[in-house]
This record gives sequence, C-alpha cells and structure tokens, in this order.
Amino acid sequence: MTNPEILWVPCLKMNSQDPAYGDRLIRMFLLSHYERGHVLFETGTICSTPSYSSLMPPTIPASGSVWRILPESPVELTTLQNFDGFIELFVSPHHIPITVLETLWPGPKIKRVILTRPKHLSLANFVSAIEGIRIQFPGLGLWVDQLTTGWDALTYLLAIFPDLQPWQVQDNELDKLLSIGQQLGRDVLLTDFSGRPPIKIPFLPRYAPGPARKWRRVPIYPRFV
Amino acid sequence: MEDMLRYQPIWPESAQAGWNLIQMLKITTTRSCWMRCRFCDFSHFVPMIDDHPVPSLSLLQASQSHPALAEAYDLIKIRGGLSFFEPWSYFRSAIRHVHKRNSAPIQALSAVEVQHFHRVEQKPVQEVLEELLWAGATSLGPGGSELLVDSWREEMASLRLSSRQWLSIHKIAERVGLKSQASLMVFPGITEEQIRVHFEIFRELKSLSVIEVKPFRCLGTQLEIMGNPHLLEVLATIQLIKKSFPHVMVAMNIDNLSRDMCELLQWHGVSRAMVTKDVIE
Ligand code: SF4
Repeated sequence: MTNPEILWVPCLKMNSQDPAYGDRLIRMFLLSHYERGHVLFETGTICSTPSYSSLMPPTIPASGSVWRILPESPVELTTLQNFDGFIELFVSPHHIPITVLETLWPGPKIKRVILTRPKHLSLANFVSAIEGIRIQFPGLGLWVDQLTTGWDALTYLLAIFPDLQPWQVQDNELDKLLSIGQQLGRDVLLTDFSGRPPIKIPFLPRYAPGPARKWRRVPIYPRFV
Repeated sequence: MEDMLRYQPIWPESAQAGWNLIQMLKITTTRSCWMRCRFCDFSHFVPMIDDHPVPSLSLLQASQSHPALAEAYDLIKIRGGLSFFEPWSYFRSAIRHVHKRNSAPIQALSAVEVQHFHRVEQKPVQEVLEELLWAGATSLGPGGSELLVDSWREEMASLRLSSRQWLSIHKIAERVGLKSQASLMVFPGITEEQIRVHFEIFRELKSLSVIEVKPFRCLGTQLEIMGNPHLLEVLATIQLIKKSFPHVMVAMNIDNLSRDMCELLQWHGVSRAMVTKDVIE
C-alpha cells in the first residue's frame, strides 16, 4: 500500500506516587504492546521509559523528554521559550494558542499538536478549525483525540486529512481503527515516539468466509428431527 | 480486496442542499416470516416459533382503534413479514382503515407480499395492486429490492422473487398509479459491481424518485457474524447513487444515528431523513 500509514500509539497514564509499582506497570504495558507505547506522567515521579511526556516541566532535559501542555492550564510563552526540552501541545479549536505556535513553529521544540473536540462543536466547524491550523502551520504534526472526537467523526477526518493521526485509541477499539485503515487502503502501524521502528498490524479477516453451499442447507427445524 | 467500494472524501462545503425530516409512523404487520431471508430478523421457521403457534395478527384491530393514528405524520409505512393465515382482504381492510383515519401518504407492503397474495389467492398482480391503491396506499414499499443481484439473492434469500420479478411488479404498480419505492441495502463488503447491476434494474422504473439506503443490521439475523457495514461503505454507496441518479432523492432512516453521522449523511447527499415518531406492532 502506498498511502500514508495510520499510526497507533498506545498510551498509559501514570499517576502513581510509588516508583517501584510504576516501574512494573510500565514494564507490563510495554511488554503487552511489543515494547511500543507512550507513557504520560501526571505526577512528578518519572521512571525511565523510551517514550513519555509529563504534565510537569521535566527537569532533566534527557532526549525524548516532553512536556505536555493542556488547554485548561496554558503556560506563558516566555516560560516555554526558556524551557530546555520538547513540547506536546493539546489544543481545543476554541482556544488555539496562536502566539505560541507562531513563535515556536517551525522549530524543533513542538513535537506534536493534539486536537481535542469540545462537546458541542459541530463536525463542519471542527473540520474548518483543523483546516485552518493546517494552512497556517504547514507541516505541523497534528493528532486528533479519539475520545472527545468520536468514531464517526474520526473516520471522516482520517479520510479527508491523510496526514492527521488518531490519538488515544484504546486497545479494545483497535479493530475500529484497523477497519478504517482497511477501508482507506492505509496500513496501521503500532508505534511510539522513541524512534524504534514501527510494527505493522495485520488487518482482521473482514467477512465471514461463507462458501455458498454452506448457506444452502435444507432448513430443518430441530423439533422435527 | 480489489473490488472493494472506495470512498472519495468530500469537503463539508460541497454539501448538497436540503435535509427534510420525515416523521414516520411504522406499522408492523407481523414479526414472523417464513421466507428465511438471511439478512432479516423477521425470518423464523413458522408456523411454529419456539413451540408456540404463530398468534393471529392484531393489525386490523389496531388500524381501527390505535390512538397513534390520530397524530400527524409525513409518512405511514406498513410493512412486516409474510403472514400464514390472514387473507389479502384482511390487509386490504386494515390499510383502508388506516387511510380513513389518517391523511398521511401510505407506503404499504412490497413486491414480496404482492407476489405472495398473487400466488396464494390466485389473483392477478395488477388486481392486487389496484386494490392496494383503492385501499389508500400511495406507494408500494421497496421490500425485495435489497440487492437486485440474482447470484447474491440465490445465496441470501433463495425463496424470494427474482430481480426481474421485482421489477415487473413495480412496473405494474407504476401503471396502476402507485409510486415505486426502491432501496439498497449496504452489506459489509458490498462491491461496486453489485451496485452497478442493482442500478441497471432501477433504470427501468420511470417514476423512481427516492432510493432508500438501508445499512444492514446484523443483530438477530443469520448473518450476524458478518457484522454491520462500515461507515465509509455507507457513504461510498450514497456517493454512487448520487453519481448514477443525480435527480433521485436519497432517503435514510436516522433513528439512533449520531449527530456526526447525520451531518455526514447530509453532506453526502441524503435529503430525506426518516425519523420513527410512532410504532404500531
Ligand atoms: S420476505 Fe421480508 S420479512 Fe420475510 S424474511 Fe424476507 S426480508 Fe424478512
């Protein structure tokens, strides 16, 4: 398939204060996803893991250390400029931090922008907000949050914006992402932001393999047998 | 895989004008049917269902006394399985009562039922249709036109009338003065070729003004294992209808659909959004 791939990044939220327990949980999370997966540290304790971001500004600017900025707790532009690390920016179409984006993009600091969808935003308005960002900031890595967007809208968005990627697709809904990939003729890759090579996820067998003669049996009602 | 239906993304700007909400009253004649169509949740092996004989219908009583018939609707749909016991005159009277009690247009029965009564009562098709018109129906329902591809029908609904038979009954209906209704059921894995063959039949209908898109609902049918069609398959099918029949309206039932889905349907050309306001069973 030549079309751009759809990426699946499994996510784990860590808010444990107990580093020993956190370590084990992350191990299990990575083991069950072929060592691919992104961890969000909601508290200050950060365990070493190849792909992560944290809600606090990471103090050690180790490679791959990323600060997640949420729309409800925006950070001053100067603080961001002085921050020695990378940024994962969550934005809502109602509050797009234009100055932050204009100052820091293009540049290496902004790793990705994740769009969340406010509750009452119509799909048409969401589409035009995304298109607006794409035009103003070409090349910006845009992700769209599945949980707030919903599957119907996400399906359409992935079809109309081939460079958009889904965020927060849960493990038990991976089949939905795979069937979108199958419909659009795009491979789905399991990956994270650690730089390790992505893994292609095979599509599910689509339809019941019903050879015609199996369907054409005599209708025997169990009562009469 | 190669023959998969491909969806062509379109922008919200290219939305087609018009989105009419059609408030419907759905009258179900019976929920059991002997025809064993594999895609239908009415198909049971009758006359016995789980050791109980099929109860006689209450349609006639309902058509005389049900309070829902005093309400206003944009459309009344009368449809259901094929009954074993009630004669044609029973249905004819029931439709007549509905028509007398409510002024909404009535889409009644389908080619499948017409052929059934034609056979069991040995009544010419034209006569059945004329009586249907007399009883108050404005159109013949689209039943039987899920997918007018004979090889597919052999497998999925082998007891049913063939595509040509469906067409000839609808042609007679047109002549008699009943509007033809047609539909297309979107199955998972439906191909462009199947839809093309299906459309060939439609082209022979002169008064065709609405095509109803019915996404297959697997629950309770023998094909449950197939699952439901993908959203993009439904949209791609609508695109094909708009391309092949630009002047025909596309209808779809929007009960239980998300707001996003309704928005998408509107952009892609669905203009009659059917909502079930009341149900008589
Ligand atoms: S004839 Fe109609 S009601 Fe009967 S099984 Fe087939 S689709 Fe269902």
